[in-house]
Amino acid sequence: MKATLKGKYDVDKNGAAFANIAVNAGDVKFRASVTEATFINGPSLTGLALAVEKPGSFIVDYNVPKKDFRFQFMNTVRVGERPLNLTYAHSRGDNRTVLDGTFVYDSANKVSANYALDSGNCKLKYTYVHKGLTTFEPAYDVAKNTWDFAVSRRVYGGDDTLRASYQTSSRVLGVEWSRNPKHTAGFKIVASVNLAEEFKAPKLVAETTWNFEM
Amino acid sequence: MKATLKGKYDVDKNGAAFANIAVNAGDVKFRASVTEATFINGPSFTGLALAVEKPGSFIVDYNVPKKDFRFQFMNTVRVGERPLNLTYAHSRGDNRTVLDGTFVYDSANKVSANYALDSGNCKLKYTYVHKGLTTFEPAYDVAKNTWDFAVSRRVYGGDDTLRASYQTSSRVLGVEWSRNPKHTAGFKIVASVNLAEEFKAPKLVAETTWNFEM
Repeated sequence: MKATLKGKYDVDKNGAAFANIAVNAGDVKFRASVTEATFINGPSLTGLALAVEKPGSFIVDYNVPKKDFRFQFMNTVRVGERPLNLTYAHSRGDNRTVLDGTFVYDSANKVSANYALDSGNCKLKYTYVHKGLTTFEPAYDVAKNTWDFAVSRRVYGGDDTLRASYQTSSRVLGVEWSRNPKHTAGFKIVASVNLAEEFKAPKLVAETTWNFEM
Repeated sequence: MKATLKGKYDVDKNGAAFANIAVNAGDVKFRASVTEATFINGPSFTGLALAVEKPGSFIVDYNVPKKDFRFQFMNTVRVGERPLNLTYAHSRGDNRTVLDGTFVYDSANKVSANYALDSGNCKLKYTYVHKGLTTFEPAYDVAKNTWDFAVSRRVYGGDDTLRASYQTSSRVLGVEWSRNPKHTAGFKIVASVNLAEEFKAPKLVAETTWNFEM
């Protein structure tokens, strides 16, 4: 049994908390997620979500207050001996369906396409990993006709990652520092600034994650 | 490459034809299906459907005239070392989602549950195979609060099957004889009668199937 506790500080929205408990049962995993809203006025179903997952195969999420299901299925097919990873996601209440395909040319080069059946929008992304440490991710949004860019690098022995991203359509530049060690608390700090609002202060979000094994 | 040609005779609706062509490509299969409506006024998209399938994993169907997708995903999870076969089916345009679970206790005993998320209806079925030849299938429809029954038996060396069924809600008794040999034409003859209309003639449908390997 695994548990995750997450604390989040956002200069705009104050603090938030999130907890996740997962239990293995054979080849599936049952998971319950809560937010602080579940407890803030005594125990309630607000912010409660349940899930059943077979790792690598499917996830079924149930949002208890909304009474809504989300289904996700993952599959791999071989194209000329290379894997094409396919993901289908369906949010039933919203009637939203998204298909995602990632073609793995080799460990350094990947191409992804994401297609939303409802809006018809398509996003393409190329992921290039340089010497296993630096990742470049240009992405193209077909509907907006814009390019987004991201670069990330693993530092300090590999548990830490620095990431910079720029979203052309919103003109938002983001910088992120995250640490995800195996056995101690992890954290993430994100600073973002809208380059169209030159004199506004950057937005700052800090998040800490504790993992427990019981 | 495989092709199937099917001819159908229905005393109420005259003849119909259906053809299916499937091409294997690695671990997926591409399939096109047409009906006689596709050709009846010169070639058209009427009655045309396309599909891509990874056997045992997923099927994506595209109905060309309706411009509609149907997604089906199949998965197996183990419950106490016995397989629970799960199927998810989503017709996007209709926004219909159906979940089906079949628990295989042993080769002779199976229990199935079928749940339509939209109507909320649930159907339960127990399948018992007696000495590998005779199959009994009582089924319960929760919404209608009715039981349906079916019995089938393999005869004449195993390629032929006789089946009798009774649907309580519609009071329809059906008798079916089908033959599905590996290398020659198969057929199916179905006679059904509504027991609430004692003096009406039975409805008769005959169908012949040819399989080709190219």
